[in-house]
Amino acid sequence: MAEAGGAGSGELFVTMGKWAVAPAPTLIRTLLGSCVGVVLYDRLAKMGGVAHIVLPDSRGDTSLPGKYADTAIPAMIADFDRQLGRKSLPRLVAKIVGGASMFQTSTPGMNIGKQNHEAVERILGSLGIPILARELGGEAGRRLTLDTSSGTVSIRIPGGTDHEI
Amino acid sequence: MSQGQILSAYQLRLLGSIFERGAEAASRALTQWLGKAVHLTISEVDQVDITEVAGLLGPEDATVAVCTMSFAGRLEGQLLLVFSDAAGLALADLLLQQPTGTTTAWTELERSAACETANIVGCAYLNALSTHLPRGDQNQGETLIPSPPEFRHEFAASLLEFAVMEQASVLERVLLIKTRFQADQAHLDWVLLFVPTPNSLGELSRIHP
Amino acid sequence: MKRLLVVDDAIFMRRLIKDVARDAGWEVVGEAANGEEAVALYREHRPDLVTMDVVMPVMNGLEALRQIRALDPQARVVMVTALDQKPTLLEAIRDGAHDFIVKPFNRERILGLLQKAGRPASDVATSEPGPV
Repeated sequence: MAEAGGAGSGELFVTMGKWAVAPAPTLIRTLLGSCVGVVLYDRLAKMGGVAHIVLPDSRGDTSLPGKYADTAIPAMIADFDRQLGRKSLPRLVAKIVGGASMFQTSTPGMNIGKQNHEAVERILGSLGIPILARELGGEAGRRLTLDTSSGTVSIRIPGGTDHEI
Repeated sequence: MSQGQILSAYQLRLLGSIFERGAEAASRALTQWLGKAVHLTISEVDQVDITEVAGLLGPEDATVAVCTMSFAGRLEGQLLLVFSDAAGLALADLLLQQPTGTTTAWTELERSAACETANIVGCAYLNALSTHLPRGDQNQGETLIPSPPEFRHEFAASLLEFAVMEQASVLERVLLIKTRFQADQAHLDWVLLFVPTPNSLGELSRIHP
Repeated sequence: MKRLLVVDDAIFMRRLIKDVARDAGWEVVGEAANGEEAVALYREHRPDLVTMDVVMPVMNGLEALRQIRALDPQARVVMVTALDQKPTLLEAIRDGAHDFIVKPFNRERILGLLQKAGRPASDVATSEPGPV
């Protein structure tokens, strides 16, 4: 089941700290700032998922698995497995987006966006999931849309037009 | 750390009444600045689950104009004056003493007029807070000094995410104080958001009458 | 003709003050968007009066006030700011600010300031700061 809403509704919106997995034809959308959006896709099954990750490390906190990179990615994979009725891992590919920073933080050296990016790279690497595309950093927010029919990820920044990665 | 910084319902009410003083001061300043009666009211002093933050300014992917100011001193955080393009350009027309609809694009002058409005509203707020916040236990300065405002366009949900990120890194519920604007019996399409840092939330949690 | 230097990071605010000053018969000899520019322009023009914002990028108005007064102990600098907090106000007075105007202000407040500043220095009494 998709955490952010019922599957098959055509369009799903994923909020901070959540994820969604759905079969084609579904558009899965999220709006990112400093958080990192992790897109997983199974081309043969035409099933895709988006996690909106807030922090790199859960440190054992299980209350909101979608919030942390180390819990959200496994939870999203488990969701693929459940919906497909088999192990999805060997066929999954990833795209990662987000991690911008708009404000100076009050803690010098704390760039959550960058830490999230690094954690996501590490976790996907350890699971052997290839990262096909990345668009990270900068100062502007991003609207991410995954088309589960094609695996295409469209990104828009404020005042801009969609581009695909 | 996180549990100790959750404010009680009583503290939220107390905070609400202190922020009402800020809103009153900002109402007076804005009324004088614009030459017309504008009334600011606190619409929310609440701790919001991070999964519910994205929709707090309306449609998540609406592009909004925003003047951002950070503040430092006794409290630290962000003040954001958020408006739709239409409302922001109408504000610029009012300040430039021209008919509504004259301005159709954001040039340096319109951005500056919007940011100066944010500066006046934000400072009036901070001035009142520096006067009315009860003394904390620590020996901190009394001042609340803002940074110069910066103008930009952003997606509503991305802006909120940037603003709450520091709090979200240590808490699952974030504190936002939202102020609405009213003129001529009608709501203006502006919102002022006050977002303290986690440390300042700790400072606020120690307030008592 | 009396000569004015306008310092504010907001172009909108500089324009507002310049318009009032010109209508009142002042010459605006320069405008600066931060404290550093203000000190340089003061050195160049030695104006009769400076309107000085406080919160600005690069160098704030309090630091610029100190540097201008070090350059010219007779300099007349009026702080024009939305920041109406006692410690800031006291700091400005201690460092030799001539007057303190809280934004938002109306045209009359600026006019009154310019008229007062147009008189010889011995006639000028520092007015009560506060919003008008």
